[in-house]
Amino acid sequence: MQAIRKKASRIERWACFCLVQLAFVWQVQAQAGLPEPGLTERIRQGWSYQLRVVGFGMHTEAAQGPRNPDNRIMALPQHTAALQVRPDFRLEVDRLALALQPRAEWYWESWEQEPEASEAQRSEAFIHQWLVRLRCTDRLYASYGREILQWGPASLTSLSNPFFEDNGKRNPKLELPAMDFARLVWVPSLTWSVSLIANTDQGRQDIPNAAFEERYALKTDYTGSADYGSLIFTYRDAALDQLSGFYGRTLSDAVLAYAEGVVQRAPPGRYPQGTNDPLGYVMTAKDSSDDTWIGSVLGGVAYTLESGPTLTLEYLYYGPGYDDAEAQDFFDLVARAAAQLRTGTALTPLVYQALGTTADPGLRFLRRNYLMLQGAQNDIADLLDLTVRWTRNLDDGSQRATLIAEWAIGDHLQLFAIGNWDHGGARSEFGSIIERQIMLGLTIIY
Amino acid sequence: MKLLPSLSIAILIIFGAGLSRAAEPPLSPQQIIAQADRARGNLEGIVWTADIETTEEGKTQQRTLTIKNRGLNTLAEFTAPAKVKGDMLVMLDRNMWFVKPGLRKPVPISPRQKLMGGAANGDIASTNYAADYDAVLLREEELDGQPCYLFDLTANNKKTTYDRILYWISKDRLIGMKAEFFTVTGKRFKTARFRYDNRIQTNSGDLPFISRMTIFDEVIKGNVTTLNYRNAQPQVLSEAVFNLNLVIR
Repeated sequence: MQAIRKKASRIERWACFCLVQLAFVWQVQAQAGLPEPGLTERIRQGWSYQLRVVGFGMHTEAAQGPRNPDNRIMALPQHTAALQVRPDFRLEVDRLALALQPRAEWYWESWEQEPEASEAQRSEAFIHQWLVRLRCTDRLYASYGREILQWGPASLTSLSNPFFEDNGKRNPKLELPAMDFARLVWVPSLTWSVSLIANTDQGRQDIPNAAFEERYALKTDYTGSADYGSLIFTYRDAALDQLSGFYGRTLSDAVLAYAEGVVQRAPPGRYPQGTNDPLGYVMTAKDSSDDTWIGSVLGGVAYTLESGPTLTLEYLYYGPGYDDAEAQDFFDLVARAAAQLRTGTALTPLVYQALGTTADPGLRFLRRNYLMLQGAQNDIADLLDLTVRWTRNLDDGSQRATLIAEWAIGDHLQLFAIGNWDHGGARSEFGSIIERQIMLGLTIIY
Repeated sequence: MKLLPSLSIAILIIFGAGLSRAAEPPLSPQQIIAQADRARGNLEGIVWTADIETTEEGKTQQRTLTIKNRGLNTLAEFTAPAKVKGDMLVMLDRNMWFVKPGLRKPVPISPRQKLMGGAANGDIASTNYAADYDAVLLREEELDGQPCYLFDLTANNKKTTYDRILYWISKDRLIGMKAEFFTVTGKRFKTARFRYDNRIQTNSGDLPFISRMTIFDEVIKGNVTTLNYRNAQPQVLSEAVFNLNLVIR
């Protein structure tokens, strides 16, 4: 209750601040006698909305392996049906910008696997994103709201983003959970801008195996005539937590090159550590007081063919990922825990804890070296948006193929199909959780 | 007799004006092209609406965009049809991003990526031919009954959308009338015609402003893309309008 009261109080303070600012602005403009259209007309001009109704069915086939034995750890539903109503409202009037994205959704899920088949339904209404933004001066903007902040040129992952590990590329039809941010953006020129970002609440974001901690970022953006870049200092507990950035360049009419990188003080993941424990290992976090900084870097190049499609190649070195020895220990722990689970020993709570942590060890990727090749083309014959992506874990040889197809039927209806096919052994990243996932649906747009 | 001094003054004024005009140095090719660039959006701030219609293999598609332009920076938001409403193109000189509303992050795109039909993304941005191309005046010739300069433009950097352009500019109005676009191999792949029925008020006075650009595909004959421009309004646009951190999506 205290947390809710605290949050409500914070929102009230922001709302008051915004209203005072708005009243001040209108008063100043009225006094200045500016020949502006009336407020009603300005609201009409600044108002926009969009309604999307998304319905889909999804089939998921869990991999038969020790990381999620018989789907008893992750309990992935085999079949899902969902209906989501997604209105987006936007108002920009004078110095104030407001955005509101309420959502209503209904889910039906079923599980066919042992020990027994079951199904469940749930429905929910919530605010997906909202934003109140003030133009304090022509160069300074202040905002607060629940947002999804995304940046960086890479497709595979946005290493430079300290707040969102998922960049929404794997399944663009599923909305990412947003978090609460206060932002101050200063735009001194077309070339430079500086953002102060405070991540004040986890919002609807789920943070597995960890508690939410407030983080603050100082983001400096540069945009040149044919290149752009950003440098982001992120602080947690009043200490520098990570330094990240990206850089991109338009090499020619058809070729883009880019890079993203990060050095982190303490990566958030958990690592297998040998113990005298019956399972032989426990999953532990790295010591945050350790001054060892770990780096990751992604390089990419995109080429647009004269005929339309864009081909993208990315290489990722992910520093926090497991090396060969750590991966060996990790999968040894997984195998021992899964074996214990099958025999039903007294170690069950320990086994569940171990498999729960190994199912999601809190890392963006399990290993260190990845290659991604993507082909994409939008608006094929004014009907079809198509993306085909192939990702390979170069350390264990496992791979993932992704297909995203969106087919427009008229101006208001769109069919879509999204498929992910994972391939690899039981002791590999992409082969150990999901074998395939296929989503078919439609979107009605107004 | 009172008529004589007045007549003398009038003659002097006319003669003086003629002398003054004759004394003006002729415009260089780059200055002529810079003037033509202004009529195609290379201004300090302008907002307009573009209706794009393309016909390919007998099939027609349409888009409507609101375009905010300042110099070489463009923010274009699709407003119709519903299936693309809210999509945005942000162009900061040669850097371009495509933004989908809702969940996806800005995706960097190349200038070559097609906007629609025969129109490249770069076609809705303002032109900066004066800076991006070296111009050689080939000759003067009439086009649609108007005397025109015919320039041969060759890209002087790798950032340009087109490698070579033949560009007809009206001698009287200093506006681009026609352009033929060529690939590196020298193959003409599209032709554009321009109309200037819009007028805008700027600090430099009343200027003609582009009202229609028609792009003819020279490879697949019959494919035509038309960009109709309306509601052109000069407007003060701050730097923040083009800042990706401030795009609401």
